[in-house]
Amino acid sequence: MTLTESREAAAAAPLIHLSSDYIRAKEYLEAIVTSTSDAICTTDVRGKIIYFSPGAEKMVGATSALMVGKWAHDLYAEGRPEAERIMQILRRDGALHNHEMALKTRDGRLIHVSMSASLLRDRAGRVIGTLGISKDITHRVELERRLRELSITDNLTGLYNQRHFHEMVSQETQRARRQRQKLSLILIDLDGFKAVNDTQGHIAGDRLLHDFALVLQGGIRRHIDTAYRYGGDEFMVLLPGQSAPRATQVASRLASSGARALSDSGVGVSYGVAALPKSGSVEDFIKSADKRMYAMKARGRRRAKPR
Amino acid sequence: MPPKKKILAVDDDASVADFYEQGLSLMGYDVTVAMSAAKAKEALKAAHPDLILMDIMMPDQDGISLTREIRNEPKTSHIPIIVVSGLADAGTLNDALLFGAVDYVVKPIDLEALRSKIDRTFAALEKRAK
Repeated sequence: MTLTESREAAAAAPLIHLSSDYIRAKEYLEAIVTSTSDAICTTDVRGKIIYFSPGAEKMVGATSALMVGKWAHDLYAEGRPEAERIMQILRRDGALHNHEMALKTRDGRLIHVSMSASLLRDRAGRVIGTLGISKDITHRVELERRLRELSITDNLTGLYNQRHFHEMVSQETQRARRQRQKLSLILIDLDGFKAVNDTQGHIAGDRLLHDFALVLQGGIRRHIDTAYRYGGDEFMVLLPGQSAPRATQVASRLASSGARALSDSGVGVSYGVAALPKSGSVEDFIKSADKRMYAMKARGRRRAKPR
Repeated sequence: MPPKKKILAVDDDASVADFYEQGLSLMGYDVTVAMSAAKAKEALKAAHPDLILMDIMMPDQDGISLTREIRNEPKTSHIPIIVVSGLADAGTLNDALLFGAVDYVVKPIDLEALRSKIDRTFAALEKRAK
């Protein structure tokens, strides 16, 4: 060993020692960050991604190489306004806890997450960016959605149930009157359903109700009209913005296609249409459809034919 | 409020009969439905409507000859008749108009369009009366 070499070796020794500690510490932290399935993501002050953890890669289905340098809000289902909301809270409180929001995956799916975020600062206390940690709560949100759905939908037919009907008819009545819009209601009753239940059994009866529900669903305007199983063999359809003549047309069509679909069982269809009056209670609105339905049933023109 | 206009609707199809009863009454008319030509004649003996809606294809008698009969009978010749046809057959409709129908409607019936034809017919009658 030359003199120079030994001097260099002496100088390097503590350095090597330090750097191996440093490397070990760095590896340790990296192991923490990379082993969690939560998404860890840092951004600069503008909101562009600087670090994107393996958990994040897996969650949204995009590699770190692809995401670094991109806007974090590109991943947010609600985009930039959501990022602005988060930044507002961070600036005010310095941190954000369990903020529930949705992310878009690369293949277009939605993932519900609970995000905790904080501002990153340098030693001088200056904000240099943000840190966000997101936990996938899609499973829980889905479960909650299904529970909610269970309580407003009818298990047998998948239509909305009576409880939800009463909520919606009040809500739509208020809205129609406030906005001076039309609102119509169709009440539908299956004639001769009880006979099917009694002679062919409940399974046949249940299948019939299910089939009729499909006819209803297929015969109304999606996302505008709503169909309900009101109870037993009674159904309701709410038609916002629709005049009574138009609603009658819809009802007549539903009755005809319903009778066709149920023709094997000999079950007939009676209906009553009501237009929302300018004043008066929701109960009167429903009663008026009920009265018309019973008048049609009493005339019995389309009486169920025995098989 | 003026009294409700009386309409006699003639159609042998139960679903159309139900549809008329429900739809026309919702539009503010006083409606009677006859499900055969014979029933229509009975109804005309009992009371005179302000307007008749006439189906063309009926098992006991076709609507065109019934239209002709009603128009030829002095007691009922003043009642306007709108024919309702399942077949948009120009010849049939022409016959109906020839035998005294004032207008026609093609099935499937559009209630709003039917209402405007009914109202137009009443307006024309009132104008003539003045």
